[in-house]
Amino acid sequence: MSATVRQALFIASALIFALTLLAAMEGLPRFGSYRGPYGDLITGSVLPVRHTFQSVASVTFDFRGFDTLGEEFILFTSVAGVPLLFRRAKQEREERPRDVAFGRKLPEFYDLVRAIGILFLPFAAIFGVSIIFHGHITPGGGFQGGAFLASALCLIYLSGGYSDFRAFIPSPLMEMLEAAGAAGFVLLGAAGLLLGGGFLENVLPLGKAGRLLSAGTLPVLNLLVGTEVCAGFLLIATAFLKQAVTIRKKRDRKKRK
Amino acid sequence: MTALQVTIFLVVAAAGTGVVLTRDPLPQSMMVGIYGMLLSILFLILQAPDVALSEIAVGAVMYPLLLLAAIAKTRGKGAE
Repeated sequence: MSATVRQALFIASALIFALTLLAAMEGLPRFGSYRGPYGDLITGSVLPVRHTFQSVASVTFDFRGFDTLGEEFILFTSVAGVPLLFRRAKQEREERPRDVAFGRKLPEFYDLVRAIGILFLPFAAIFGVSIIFHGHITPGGGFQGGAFLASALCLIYLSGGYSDFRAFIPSPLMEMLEAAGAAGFVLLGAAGLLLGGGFLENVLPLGKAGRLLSAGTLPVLNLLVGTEVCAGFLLIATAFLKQAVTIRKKRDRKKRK
Repeated sequence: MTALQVTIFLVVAAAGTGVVLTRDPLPQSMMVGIYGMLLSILFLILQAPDVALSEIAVGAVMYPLLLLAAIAKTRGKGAE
């Protein structure tokens, strides 16, 4: 197929696509308007039924908690897959960790960067933990807080280096925490099955809305998800950094001679 | 749509185009981080703070970090 024919074909199909898209968008509700019944139903019932203001967390961890369980295991499976893909191959070996830069010299390491990293680490980490613990009261929750905490801990690599990062974040501990988070979610769901009659039924006392210990299983599930997400993200970051910083191709000695 | 919403939509569209037009992976990983940051502001303006928090942690920090590690691995001197 020549370039002109291809171009003509593209223009024709793009035109058809644009026209049908425009026609389809005609029937859309106006920007910002909402017509579904569930939003109003949930925002209206979440406070009396679940003793919390956070309707988003109530949907993701309570009313539709089963979907979140599925998402947890998607993350769990990918975290299991990344180190498998990134394992040391036969023709590679682990060397002393060193940073590399392509096509240029390694930029000088400034103490200022190091100091800012160390300074920011505790604040960022506390912010992440706070988001996890307040997931059922304010926006955020286990996933957001866990991801934030993991990003904060990556500052250790930025200000310390690879060896410090591995020392502070031991992979066996992270693997245990990640598995504990995923298992805890399933076990808490099973507790609902035993006590309440439904998987992930909210079986804990609901408490007073706005308190740290309220909304029943919501804060516990947030904590479990936060643990899993943080450990999982750190395991992925470790696998990537290990590949980039320590694993090198074995030098072919015969070729050199 | 308010003026703020129109502005942030345009800014995110410009940043997305900027990511595509940056052809070198190293600056592109920085661009994608900025894009993630702007996208999280868009979510915040559209009153979705939960999504904004996810986007800022994943899109603006974790994703560029993994990209940088991958670039260092595949194009660094150590790869040879």
